[in-house]
Amino acid sequence: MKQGLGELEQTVLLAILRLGDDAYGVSIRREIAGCTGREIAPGSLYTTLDRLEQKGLVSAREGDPTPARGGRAKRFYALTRDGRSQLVDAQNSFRRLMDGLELLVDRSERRYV
Amino acid sequence: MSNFSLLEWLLARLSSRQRAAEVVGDCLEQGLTSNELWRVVSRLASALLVRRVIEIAFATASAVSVVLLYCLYVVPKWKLPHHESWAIWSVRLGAVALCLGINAGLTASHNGMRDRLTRISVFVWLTVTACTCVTWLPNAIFGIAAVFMVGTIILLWTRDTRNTFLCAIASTLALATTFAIFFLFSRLTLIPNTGRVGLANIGFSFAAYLSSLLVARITTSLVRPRLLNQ
Repeated sequence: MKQGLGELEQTVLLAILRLGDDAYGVSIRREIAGCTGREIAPGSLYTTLDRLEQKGLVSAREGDPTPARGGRAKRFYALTRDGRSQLVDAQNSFRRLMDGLELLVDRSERRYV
Repeated sequence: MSNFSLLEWLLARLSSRQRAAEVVGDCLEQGLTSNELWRVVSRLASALLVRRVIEIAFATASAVSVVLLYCLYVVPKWKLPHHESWAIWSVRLGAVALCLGINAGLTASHNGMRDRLTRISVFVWLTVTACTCVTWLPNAIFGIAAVFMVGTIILLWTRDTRNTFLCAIASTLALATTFAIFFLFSRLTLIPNTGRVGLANIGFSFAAYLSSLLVARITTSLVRPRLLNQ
């Protein structure tokens, strides 16, 4: 049974995918801010990560504690097979919807539809 | 206890110990000051508290809808001359529908309506509730048995739906068992519902209800990863 993904959930999943083995709270927020120009509130990020974990779309593993974190371990996230499949489905849906619309602006030619 | 440890402790009351350590560790790594950390943790704690309140509200709304439907459609039929034969089944089904509704409400508020577990929980709840409302009809028990058999076969047919269905049943059973334990305890320590004792009884009922919700949530969080391979 297909499950829909919200916009923030997709954004977080994509950031985790981009970061590979280095996907944890701080790096995910930084990656999202860098790519989208959008600062995600920590509360929103952690509740989304919690929800994604509950749905089985991401898995978490504890890293080593570090002095910079007051002896607390990082929590690294990775997409599960189900998470990757859901993300691909969601992205394909967007692509099908956008086909033929030419909404993405080509700045050099300054074409708008 | 240092400020950061206190914040971690507070957050661990609402979330998990690992989540609390993760959040505080991330904030420390970003060099946030104590005040900024308090702000982050307060917002997160508020969001988690609001989620808990919404979960309780959803669960209660589901339970109330079952009770309302039962009172509107079934209770008036108790005056029928043949009521004894079906009334016992209607009460049992109503109790099952109540527990299923509470669990479905909890699941829906926690995972959203697009989640597979939510959809199956809601489907089972609505089916049992509908059956509860028609128990007064002649020979209804046979129709209800047929619906349950067909529904069970459909739900057990594929591995995914079977495991999801079992997950929903596990948390509902845990919820019902907690209710039953509190009910048995109240029978053993029966106090007439007068004056201030009435308030104590209300408090006891709330404690029973909230405990059942908590047990259902814990059961889901334990069973779901194992059954749904997550």
